[in-house]
Amino acid sequence: MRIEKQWKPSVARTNSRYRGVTEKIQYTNFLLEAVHDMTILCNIMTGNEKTGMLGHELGIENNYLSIFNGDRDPGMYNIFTASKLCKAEKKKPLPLPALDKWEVVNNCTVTKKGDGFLLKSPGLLDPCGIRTPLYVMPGQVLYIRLKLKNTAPVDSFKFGSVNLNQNEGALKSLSFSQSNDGFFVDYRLYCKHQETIFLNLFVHHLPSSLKAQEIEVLSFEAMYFNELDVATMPLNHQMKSHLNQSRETINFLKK
Amino acid sequence: MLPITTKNPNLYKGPGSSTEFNQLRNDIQTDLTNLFHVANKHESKIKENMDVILRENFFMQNRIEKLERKLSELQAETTAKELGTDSKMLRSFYHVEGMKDGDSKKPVNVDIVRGIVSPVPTKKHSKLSYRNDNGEYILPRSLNVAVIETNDTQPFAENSSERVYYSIDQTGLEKAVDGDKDSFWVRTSSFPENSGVTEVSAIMHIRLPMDIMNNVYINTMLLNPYPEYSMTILDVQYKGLGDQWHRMETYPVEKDAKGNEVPVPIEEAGKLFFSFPRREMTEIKIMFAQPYWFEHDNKRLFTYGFQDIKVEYREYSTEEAEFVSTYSLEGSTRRFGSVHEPTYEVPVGCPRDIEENVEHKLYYDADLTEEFSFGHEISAPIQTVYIKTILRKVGETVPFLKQMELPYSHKELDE
Repeated sequence: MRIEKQWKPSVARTNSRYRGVTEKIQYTNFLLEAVHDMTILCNIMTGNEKTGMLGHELGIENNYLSIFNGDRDPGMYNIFTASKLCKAEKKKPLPLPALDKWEVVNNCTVTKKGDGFLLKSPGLLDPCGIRTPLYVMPGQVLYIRLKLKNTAPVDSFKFGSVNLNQNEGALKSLSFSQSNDGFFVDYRLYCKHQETIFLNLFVHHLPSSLKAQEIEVLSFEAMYFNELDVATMPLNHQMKSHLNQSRETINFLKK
Repeated sequence: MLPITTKNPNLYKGPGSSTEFNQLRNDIQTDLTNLFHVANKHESKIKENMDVILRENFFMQNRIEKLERKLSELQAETTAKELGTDSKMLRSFYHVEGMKDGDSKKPVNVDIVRGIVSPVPTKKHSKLSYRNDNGEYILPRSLNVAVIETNDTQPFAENSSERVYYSIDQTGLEKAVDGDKDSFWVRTSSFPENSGVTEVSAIMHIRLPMDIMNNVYINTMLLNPYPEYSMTILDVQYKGLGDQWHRMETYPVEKDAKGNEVPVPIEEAGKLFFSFPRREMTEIKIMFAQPYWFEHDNKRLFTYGFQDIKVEYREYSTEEAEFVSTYSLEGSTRRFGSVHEPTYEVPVGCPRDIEENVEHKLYYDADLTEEFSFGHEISAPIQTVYIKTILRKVGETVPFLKQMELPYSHKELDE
């Protein structure tokens, strides 16, 4: 993000009438400052190629051309001209059972605690956790958000999928050396293939030392995710093409 | 801006006085300072305007992408379905193509920005801002607007299903209610990428300027969220002269699992128009959320705001208003076999029970000389029909239409 520039003049009101005559050096300074300010003003208005200053004139023109036909990049703005627009689709939850109905991996115990679940590992086998199958399609983005709480240190808590994208896997790893009283973590899974994957929550997965540990999942949310790469879409060359294409489709449907 | 520095008056007059010299210096200094002030103002305005356009542009892309996806689903559905002879034609009010006045003494108001047709309001009394003869917007001092915010990682308030709200910077909030469609109140809430925040919600609380209102009756509210097609409007409530909060009568509601009436979120809200029977209002609360965020510089940026919020009392004439829509099969080999009475859709936020307020009449000629009944078989080779729609205010209820559907059957011209 750019930081807004505030242009300031150099000239100062020096000839106070109670201060006596103006000295020669003050007169010279005033002239230099005035000339300097006028040059700066010219640069602000029309730019300066040498210093790479765009100027309002070119800035306005570039803004207009970038939006109208995309011939130039936007010139003057505070935000960004390309980004990723994201939305967690809360109305499209993943079809998953409650955590205590997930399949247990390596003797993990899952007990209901308040509105959440307590996941415990006896520390005998690794990885230890729970998993559930999910059928996914290419292009889908899955979003998982957890609220976690731990009363003792946790080493290598992981969640995600071990076999997403033909066993490539995607797991987010977290370790806590201190206790935490409920905090949110989230992760996105990008599906490239049509397949059945496992969603996993591991109390530990490849920890530095294998030992019994537990973690409380205060809330578990899993939903589809919408992600769109956006950049300035010019009206004339792109937006109108999209509209015309839609119009053609509607005409076809009306026949 | 005009410079105050004048040309040297002493060019042919010999030396100038020290007063003149000092005056010239001061004038140059004043002019230069003013020029810098103007340059700063321009720079900030150019950037602000571009920011507004860029954000709108991003959400327009999102809207286009969604519409294209829906259209291709529809295309797949239609291709799979066998086409019969029964069909429908759609009339929306986002344009006036194929639409003309009925009786010129009974005109309708077509709001192509919101795509709504209604009787013409004879007077509009704004309750928030006023426009003077110079076109400047004036806000009464006693108008009070405040916003509080929360997000979906905030803890729940004690004994409540609502999350804990926090106060935010209120700078520029007046731009949301100043009546000027070219000014925006925009706020960007920024969170770290790993914060887990997926939605930001807020409540805007408007206390109306009671001291300058000649009455507290209100029957119209316009909401122009910014960026358009991104925010979710969760509820709109008002307070009358008592202490009780009421939901705006025409805000859409549904029954929850326990049978309680709950507000229906208006997702990806465009420009909204609420019309309701006149009510005494002293305070208004608008609840809204922003589920979309931009990912930038390892941050989640939730941008929301309002281009304009208008609260008005509108007076409508009790006379009828009418318009004529043309439905045509010209350009195809088909003709109308029969035409059924049109159905209509009411915009979100407007009275739904308006059967008494809307009447349709069918004509086969552009001069509307003879009225025909709906549903009868048409034997003549007619490719164009004309529907006159009459809108009338009944009691406090004013009809607003968003779109009309004309069900019809068709035959081949040579049949």
